[in-house]
Amino acid sequence: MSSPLRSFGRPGALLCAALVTFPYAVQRVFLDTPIESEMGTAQKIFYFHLPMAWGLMLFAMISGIAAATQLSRRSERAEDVAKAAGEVCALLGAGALVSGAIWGDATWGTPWTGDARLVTTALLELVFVAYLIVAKFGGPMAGRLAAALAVFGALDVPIIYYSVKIWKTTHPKAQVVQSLPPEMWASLWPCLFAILACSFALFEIRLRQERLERWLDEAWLALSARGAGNAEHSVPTGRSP
Amino acid sequence: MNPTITTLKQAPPTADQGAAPAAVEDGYEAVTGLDKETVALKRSYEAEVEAKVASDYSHIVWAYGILWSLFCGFAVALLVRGARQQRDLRALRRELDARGAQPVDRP
Amino acid sequence: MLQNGTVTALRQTWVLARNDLRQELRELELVVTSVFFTVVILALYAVSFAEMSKSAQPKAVPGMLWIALAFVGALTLTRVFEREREADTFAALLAAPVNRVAIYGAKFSVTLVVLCVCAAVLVPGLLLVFPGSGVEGWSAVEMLATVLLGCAGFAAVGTLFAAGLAHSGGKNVLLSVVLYPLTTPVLMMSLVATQRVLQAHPGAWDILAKIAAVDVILVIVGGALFESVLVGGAARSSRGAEAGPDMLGGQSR
Repeated sequence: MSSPLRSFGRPGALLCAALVTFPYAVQRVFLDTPIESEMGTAQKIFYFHLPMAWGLMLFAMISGIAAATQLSRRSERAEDVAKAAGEVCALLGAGALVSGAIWGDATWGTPWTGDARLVTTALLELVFVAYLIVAKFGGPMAGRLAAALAVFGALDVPIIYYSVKIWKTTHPKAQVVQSLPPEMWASLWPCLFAILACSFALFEIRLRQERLERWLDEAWLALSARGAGNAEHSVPTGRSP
Repeated sequence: MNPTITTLKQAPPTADQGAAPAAVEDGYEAVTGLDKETVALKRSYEAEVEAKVASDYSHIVWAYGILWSLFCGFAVALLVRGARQQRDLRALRRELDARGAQPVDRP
Repeated sequence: MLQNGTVTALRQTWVLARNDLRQELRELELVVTSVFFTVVILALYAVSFAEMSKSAQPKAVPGMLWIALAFVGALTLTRVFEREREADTFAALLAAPVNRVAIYGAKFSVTLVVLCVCAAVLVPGLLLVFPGSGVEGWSAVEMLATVLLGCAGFAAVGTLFAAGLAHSGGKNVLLSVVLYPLTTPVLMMSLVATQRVLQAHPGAWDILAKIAAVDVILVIVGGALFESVLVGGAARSSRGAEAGPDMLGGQSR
């Protein structure tokens, strides 16, 4: 079997970095940061909620750009990237939505308001869940259909945000986004780093799996296509991803 | 200057509060400092804070719990997938060995 | 050169759309089924929300309009491409020496026409059933523009994905999975526009202009992606053989 350290590589290093940062981040959040005066302790949820929402946007963009590349250049590599990013996107979106709902329940007394950010995040999450569904069940053209979906999804980010803001003007409800004091920002950065490092590690592991899957498929195909005698010529002998 | 008296005067007369001056006549003196209402107010305030803290606490536990279980679920899904791929890879290698071919380079 | 190409594509779009519409005029299949579906939804609304107070109607009726149009839209889109698939003409159409954008444009136009016919039934019907939804003196022209722009945005996204799904073996269930999350923004803007139109709000044209801008973006992206989504497959499978070693070579980093 392959040596675990070698196959660990960059995602392993990222995971380790996340594992080291995470306790520090939690300790900072709970012990070194003043309690927010208006929302109380529940505001501590925010420190992992915001990085997830940002990560969602980031991976939506990555997935969209990769999907566009996949469509324009017919690149399988880009398809793998788009797919892996789409999955991480759905994961981060679910995290952001759930933590947001819990935080909202604690501070606003309701898990859901029609706030522009909430609706934007929810729609984006829906788009990427749809992306995964199409990629899985879409039939022979699934890859390209899903890619078109991801392109629209990434493109929709500003449109969604803008349209939700328009929609909100008919039901105005002031949600003042307060500016954070510097010590809260200082605690936010380690959390952001931990979440992003973890997400990128998962993304890269997923990407490697996607590539290995492709490689295995091709190997099996090559193996079954050729006869038994000359199998050593037909099987790809490169390093699998 | 007794704060008890002044507050009681402002409060609507009830059976409970009406008993207090009677107690003084019995030779007891009302405790100066915190009157009943302030204490009740403080208690209710403390109860509110306690409820808030407990609610915040449970919300935080839920939020962090769900977040990390989401990540763990994803990681487990990745592990399962990876294990399946490794099995597939071993099957491929066995198949190759059975056909007498050179084994594939180690992945 | 570029202008020449655009003119050709527009002419081809017109020819293809005219053909489809002519066939539709002969059979009336799409229009009849879609309008009937619209009437059924209208009846359901009338039954479900019969007791709705007049004060709630201005907020609810635009929502009903766009939900109904979204449902009818998915149905129409499915049917537009199913017909091609049944007759096995879609592959031939894609292989024909026609600009693919013209195919997109033609299907988009047919869908838009059918949706507008449905809206022509739906809007008066809703106003009849829920008379409290609009104030006196709301403008029919603004309403027409709202319906046209909203449906155009919906059809722009829908045509691309309905075509892709029809071409890939017709898993039409997936159309609603794809369509509704992606079209929600444009539907939401149309909803606000409809509310404003029915209330004779002065800012109606302002939002209509914004919907038009979003429509332009959606049509351009939809048209641009149409070819690579539908026709990319053949090129990829022919390239499959050489893709293997190339990919593996790239991996031995």
